[in-house]
Parts: sequence; structure tokens; C-alpha cells
Amino acid sequence: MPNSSNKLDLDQLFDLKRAEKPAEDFWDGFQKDFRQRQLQTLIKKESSWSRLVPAFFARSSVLVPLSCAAVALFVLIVNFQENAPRQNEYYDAVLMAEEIGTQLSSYTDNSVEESEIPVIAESITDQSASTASAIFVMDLIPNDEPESLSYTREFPTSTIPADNRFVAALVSYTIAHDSPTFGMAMRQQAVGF
Amino acid sequence: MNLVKAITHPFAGTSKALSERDSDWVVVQRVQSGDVAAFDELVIKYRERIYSVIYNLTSNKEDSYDLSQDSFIKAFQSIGRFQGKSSFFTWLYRIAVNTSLSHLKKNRHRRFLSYEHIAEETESSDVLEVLATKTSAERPTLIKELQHKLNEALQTLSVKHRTVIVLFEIDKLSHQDIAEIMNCSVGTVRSRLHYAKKQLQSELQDLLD
Repeated sequence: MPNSSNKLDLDQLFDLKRAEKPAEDFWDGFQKDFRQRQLQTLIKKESSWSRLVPAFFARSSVLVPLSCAAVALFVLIVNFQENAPRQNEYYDAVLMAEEIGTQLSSYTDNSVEESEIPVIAESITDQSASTASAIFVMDLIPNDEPESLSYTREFPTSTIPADNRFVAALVSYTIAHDSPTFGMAMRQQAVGF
Repeated sequence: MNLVKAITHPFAGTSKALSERDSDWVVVQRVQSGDVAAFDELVIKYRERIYSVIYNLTSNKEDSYDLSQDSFIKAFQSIGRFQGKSSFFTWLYRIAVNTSLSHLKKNRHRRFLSYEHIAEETESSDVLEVLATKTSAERPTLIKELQHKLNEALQTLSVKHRTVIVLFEIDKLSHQDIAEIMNCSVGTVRSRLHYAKKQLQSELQDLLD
């Protein structure tokens, strides 16, 4: 610092210069950047440094988790791409089920012709006629895993006219709109037991 | 082998502390034998000194960051050829100094940038008067101003004279080390040092006794 005559000597100025340093947290970023550049160098020089690379990966505490994360991300992307068509079909099927739900209120006895009732629906419709306190449930069932239900839409009986013909028509409608991946099935579920 | 024993059992045998040169050489050999992560130890040990010498040569913090990174990468790439004839430290310094000098030659007119941009230029005589009377809270700003003025003065020196001043006066290296780093004789180092100090005193005469 200044001496008695308010003047400095060169050594004091050099002391000030020596004190000119970056903040502590500066070095974290510096080290991180260096490791990235070091890795890039290793990758570029892989052919001549091939014996060093495994050691680098084996010992680095930072790169091992990073490598694992990269592998996990790769697997996720591949998995997502494989499942994408199935996911789309699923959402389409769910939308279809929702659409059926909204159409329920517009159905009446007169809107369904006798010829539309498939044989497969008869057992269901017979039961529905005698169970006023039931709800109707439509399931989306994956074709490759028939045991698992992937989506369920419930229709309370209050929204469905208690008529065999109507329910049978509804079942017919859902079967006609089955997708390759998901099947739709209407079932009756009794409540209040 | 004895070196390794001395590290793992520092109080065994002679219990003599390893010199910096020897301890660096052990780490270098680990890197050369495939333990690439060991190079981190050398970066952590020398990063501040390398950054400092480059900053004092360039007076530009962004350039100093990049050039320090470049220097360590060059050292990493070349470490397989390092034979331990000189100390790792002088070898690394030589890389850093050569990298900086090469950069300075390419960018002769580059404006330097200090850590703190000082918006208002104050006359040096004013600085000294104020420094004597200001409170401790106000002194940091004035110190930065003095650092800034020394940076300006350093930039007026040729790169060879600047390098000698930085390595000797700021980094406190010996004449012998500087001669090794700059690949010249100790006499040349002394001569350059004498001339550089004289020129600096001339540049900073308003501030100095």
C-alpha cells in the first residue's frame, strides 16, 4: 500500500497484481470444461490412445454417471419409438370410447334396427334387461395382453335406457370399431351387492 | 518404487518429504501408464498459476480462460512424450507461455480486459491522494485501478520482456526456471528483467517513488 510519501514502489504494484485472481467458483466451471475437452481429445485420439480410454471411464467419478445417463436416454428413446404406434392407437381408442360415451344420450330405442344386434351381444343384453341397478363398463383390452385392462369407461345406468336392443347395438358399435392393437368390450357390472 | 512407498507410507523409511518435482513425476507416470484421471490432480494443482501467468501476459480474462484450457489440453496430449528431464512444472509453464506468445502474435491489437471494468479513468496522482485518505471500504476500487494501470504498463512491454517480468516478479520463479521456460540463458533473463523493470518504472513514474 502507499508509503509515507503517498507513492508506491514497483514491488507494491506487483503485490497488487498478484492479488488479482478470479473468484473461487470460477474454478468449478474451469475444471468441468477441461474434463469435457479432455474427453473430446480422447475420443478423437481413440485409435492411438485406446489403452487409456477404459481407464479413464473406469476411474472418472463424473463420466461414469454421465455415461449411464446417456445409455438410459438412448434406451428410453428407442423404447419410445417402438411404442409410439401403440401409444397412438391407445389414445385413438380412448377417444373413441369417450365418443361412444357422449353418443349414449342421443341413442333411443328407435335409433337401433333389429339387424344390427349381433349374436355375441345377446348374453349381455339378456342380463342388462333384468338388472336395473347395473352400470355398463367398456374396457379397452390390449390384444397382446388380454388379461390386462388398459382403459375402463363406466356408463351409469341412468345414462342408458334400460333396453336390451340399445345395449346390444352399443356392443355392436364397439366391436365394429376395434383397432388392431386394442379390442373394446362392453360388460355389465352390477352394483349394490 | 521407493517414491511410491514414500507416498503411501510417508513416515516410513527416510521420512523425507518428496520434492514437488518428484511428486509431480509420480503423477505424470500414472497418467502415462493409463490413469488418465490422474491428470486432474495436475490441473487442480497448477490451474491457478497457469491461469495467472497467462492473464498477466494477456491482461484479458476471456483469452486467459481459453488459453489456459488450451495449455492443459496440449500438455495432456503431449504427456506421453514427457521424459522427466525437466520438472513437469517448467514443462507446463513452457507450454502455457508459448501458447500465450503465439496468441499474442496473432492478436497484436487486441484490447485487454481486466476483471473489473473501470468506467471512470482517474489520474494517477488523484488515485494516490485518495488512497491515503479513503476508508478500507473504498480501497478495493482504488486497488483495482492500480492493477489496471499496471496491466496497461505491462502491455507496453514486448512479449519477451513482459514474460520475464511476469514470471520473475509476479510468479516469483527463479532465473534458472525462467531460462528453461523461455529456452534462453540465465544472462539473457537477467538482462531482459533489468530492461523491463526500467521501462515499467518509466511508464508508471507518476505512481512510483
